[in-house]
Amino acid sequence: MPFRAKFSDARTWKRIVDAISVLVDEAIFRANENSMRVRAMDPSHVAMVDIYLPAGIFDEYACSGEVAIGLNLDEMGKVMRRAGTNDELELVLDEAASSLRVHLKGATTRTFRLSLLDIGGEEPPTPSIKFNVEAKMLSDALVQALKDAELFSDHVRVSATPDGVQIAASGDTSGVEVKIDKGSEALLELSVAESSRAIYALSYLSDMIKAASVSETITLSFSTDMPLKLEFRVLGEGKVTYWLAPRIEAE
Amino acid sequence: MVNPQLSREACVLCKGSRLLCGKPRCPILMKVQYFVPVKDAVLKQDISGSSPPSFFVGHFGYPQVFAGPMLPPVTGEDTIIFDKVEEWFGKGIEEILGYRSLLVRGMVRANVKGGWGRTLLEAQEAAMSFKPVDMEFFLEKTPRFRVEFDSHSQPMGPTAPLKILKVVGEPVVPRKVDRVVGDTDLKASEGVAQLYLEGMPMSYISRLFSAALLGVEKDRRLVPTRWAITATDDIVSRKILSKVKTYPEIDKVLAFRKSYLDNHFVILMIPHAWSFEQLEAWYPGTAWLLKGKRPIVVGDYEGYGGRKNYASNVSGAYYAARLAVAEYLERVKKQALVIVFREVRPGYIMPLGVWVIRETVRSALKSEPQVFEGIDEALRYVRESLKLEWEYWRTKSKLLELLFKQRTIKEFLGF
Repeated sequence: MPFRAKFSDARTWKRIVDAISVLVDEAIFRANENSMRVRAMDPSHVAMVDIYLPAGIFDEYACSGEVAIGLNLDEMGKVMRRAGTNDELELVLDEAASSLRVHLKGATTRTFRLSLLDIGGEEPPTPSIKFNVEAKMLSDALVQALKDAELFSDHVRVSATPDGVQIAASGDTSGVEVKIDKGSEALLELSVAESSRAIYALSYLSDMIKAASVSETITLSFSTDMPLKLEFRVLGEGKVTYWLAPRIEAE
Repeated sequence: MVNPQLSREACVLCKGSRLLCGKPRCPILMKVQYFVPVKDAVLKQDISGSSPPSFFVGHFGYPQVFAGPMLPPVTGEDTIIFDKVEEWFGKGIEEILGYRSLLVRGMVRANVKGGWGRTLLEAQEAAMSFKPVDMEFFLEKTPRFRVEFDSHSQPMGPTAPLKILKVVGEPVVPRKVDRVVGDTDLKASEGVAQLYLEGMPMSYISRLFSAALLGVEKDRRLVPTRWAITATDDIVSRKILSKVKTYPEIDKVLAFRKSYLDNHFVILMIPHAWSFEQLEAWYPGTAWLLKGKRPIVVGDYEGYGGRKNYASNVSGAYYAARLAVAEYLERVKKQALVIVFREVRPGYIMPLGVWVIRETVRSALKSEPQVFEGIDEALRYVRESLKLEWEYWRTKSKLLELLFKQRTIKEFLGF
């Protein structure tokens, strides 16, 4: 068996699948003996997700060689919605049948068989950017700020000074500004090399934050008119990173 | 009470459906109702003829609605055109109003969920027919002398409560329709999609949907005609778009044009992941903007992920145009970012239903497009094709704004 992995709590896997399906309908999970990875860009090329799951965060993990598992996330998401709160999850690659078996073990043992997608393509590189702002904060603070912003606009202005992070949105005549100041309990760490500001589409950012809010804290990095990087941890060493290209208000 | 903030744009946004003005009936619709002379032949208590067939469900008083068949005092297979909007494109307003003013609507009060009497059940059975069905109406009184207008549905003819309905002819039901209607475990959305794939016209599918003939048994209910039209446009276009979104992007920028009944359309397609926007400019003197000096532009859009709520600015026309666009993209097996510009000039004096949009966009997309190398060149063509100053459109378009302002991750990968 070239690939087999186990989570004692099936919901962990559900969150990972949800975090990817925010951007794409299909994805390739690449695994080797050390880790499992997913990297995907949304069809409009505006955002990207990069997931790194080291073997150690799984309760059991075995993989021989490099395997690529192409999955329909919609189908996988439906299966995971059927998982109970105390279910244990096991994924087993069945290369002969060109499918992935999903075992959910609770009071009963259920085995779902998902056919593998034949999707190829190079793994895209991630942007290498020098960030002037890096802020670690409570994810709920950001969730609430974006909900406020959604009342007025479809995009937000994110800015940072050495004193804190600000999130603002405005409509034709009204608007909102949310301040997350240094020293407040919502802002855990802040490093600002240079005061920065950029605009991002809420349709993407809200979905990303919603997926990230399964983690209590998130790290936000950005620079003026550059992509935003949003990172959160899964079971300690696991990492989900989103990239979101900015909107430029020139003209 | 009239909300002063809403006053100018209110009618264009509402189109008689949301009654933003606070009045119990839309005053604009009330006014045009008396515009059309009704022929003497329909002002009778007993009517016999061939129903196209046609089945109408009103939305006032929902879930207690008026529903029933429509019947012209004309016998023969030709009456099918009275309700088949797919065959109306290109016809003049007078001809269409002629069809509709001949259709007498026999009304029965009914709960949408069921408990229907024999009259409604027989009308429902006749509604399944693909061809006209001979029937007789015995009305409680002479029909009221009017034609009713609605932004979504085609105009409706004179109306009276139906006392007795006699279905004389045999409904002709295609086997595939019989199978879908008979399948009471099949979801309505699946039924709609299947009938479309079998080649059934939209007007036929929305009639079946409206007449509570589709869906899981316990969920079947009468659906007001105007809602059924938009629901079927929405269901079918979603179905097609789920495939379209897997196709490659178009190679060049394309623009299509078509005008009908002083509705002027320009459809712009740009190589990009699927996105859709419809912008509508209503001139003063058109159905929904009788007064005022300046035109009003309204719009709705969706990105690759689709809409999560109703396109309430453009309303039913959005879904009708999106269907025609989805059909085109499925035909050429490509995806694109599509903007539909609709300029409604003063010749469009009364609303005729969203079929005007669906059929005009379908027709536009069967014509040869103008092909452009770049977006700027294409936008110049769009500007020249529209009468209204470009500034009105540009400032309203969310997709153009995105296109010009939204950067992509690729730009930061150092390719």
